[in-house]
Amino acid sequence: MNMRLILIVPLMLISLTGCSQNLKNGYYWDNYSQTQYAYLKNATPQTLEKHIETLEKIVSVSNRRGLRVPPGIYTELAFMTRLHNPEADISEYLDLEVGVYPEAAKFVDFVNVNLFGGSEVQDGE
Amino acid sequence: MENKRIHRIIILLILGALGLLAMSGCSQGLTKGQVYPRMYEERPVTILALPPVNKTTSPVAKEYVLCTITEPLGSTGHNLLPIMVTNEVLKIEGLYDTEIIAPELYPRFKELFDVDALLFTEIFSWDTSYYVIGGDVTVGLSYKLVSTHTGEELWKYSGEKTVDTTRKSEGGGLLGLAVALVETAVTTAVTDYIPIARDINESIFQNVPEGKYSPRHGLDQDDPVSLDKN
Repeated sequence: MNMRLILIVPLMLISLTGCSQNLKNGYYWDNYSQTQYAYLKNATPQTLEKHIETLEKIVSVSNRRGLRVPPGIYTELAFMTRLHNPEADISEYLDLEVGVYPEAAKFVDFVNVNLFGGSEVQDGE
Repeated sequence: MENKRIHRIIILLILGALGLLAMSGCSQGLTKGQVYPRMYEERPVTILALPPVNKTTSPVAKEYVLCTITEPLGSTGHNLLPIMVTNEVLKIEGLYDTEIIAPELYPRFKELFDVDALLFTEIFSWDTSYYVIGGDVTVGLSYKLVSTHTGEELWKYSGEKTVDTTRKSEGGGLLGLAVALVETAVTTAVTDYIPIARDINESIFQNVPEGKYSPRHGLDQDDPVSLDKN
């Protein structure tokens, strides 16, 4: 029993510290500020890729931990992915943003038409 | 026996007095509900952060601030639109220059992007100073959230923080001082402003009433507001 506790307690502590890594109010952000700043300061394919990696990690870690993906992350991922590869299909990201934040629908639609050259979605409202 | 009883009574009296003091200390603070009642009346969901207005001479301040708004504000349970994307969209619509965003333009944000509130940011200080044996960096930011429905101010806050960038001398004597002087100049010049701007923004945006996607939405009216400057 005691041996089991000795093993379990440190493992629990490790997993707790792992969870608290840049977790704010239930949202996971990874290195968002840093990689975004690096890109804004010096927009190169490398800084762009780094920021895309951060956004992808925010999505995958949030989903794995059952957390809500922070607002705007899917749309930003769509935008940055398109900058990186103008042919990339980003429609799934846009759908996911609206799925998590229905209030973003109008903005996402505007972005899709005006930045990505997509066609307007007929919303059922 | 009698002495013990007196002691006990004295301790209880002291504890009681301390408790009363602590309570009166708490009741002096204002709550989110008292300071920002319009946030609870309007309950804005979607927020668009306009590009910061830089009132300082620092050419880099705007980017540092821009990058440190998303995490703390996006964690308050509101639908904060992504700044990297909104900046592009604002350029297309000729709305990128925050100085020109007058109240008559507010409804346009609702109409185009379904935005409920606009975040105005002003950088009022971003100073790096060196003195004989040290240096520091002062960052001052002010924010306001304005309703696109009514044009009224829903929330505002400002904060200033000074961070000491003096490198402590490890060696003693004159040589130690000389090394410290050089190191201070270097540290102050290359200080990473992101943690500083992020700290300030975190303490500022803690005062935003929680939004629709927070489990505490509508339940934080009694939370204290820290009105003191950082």
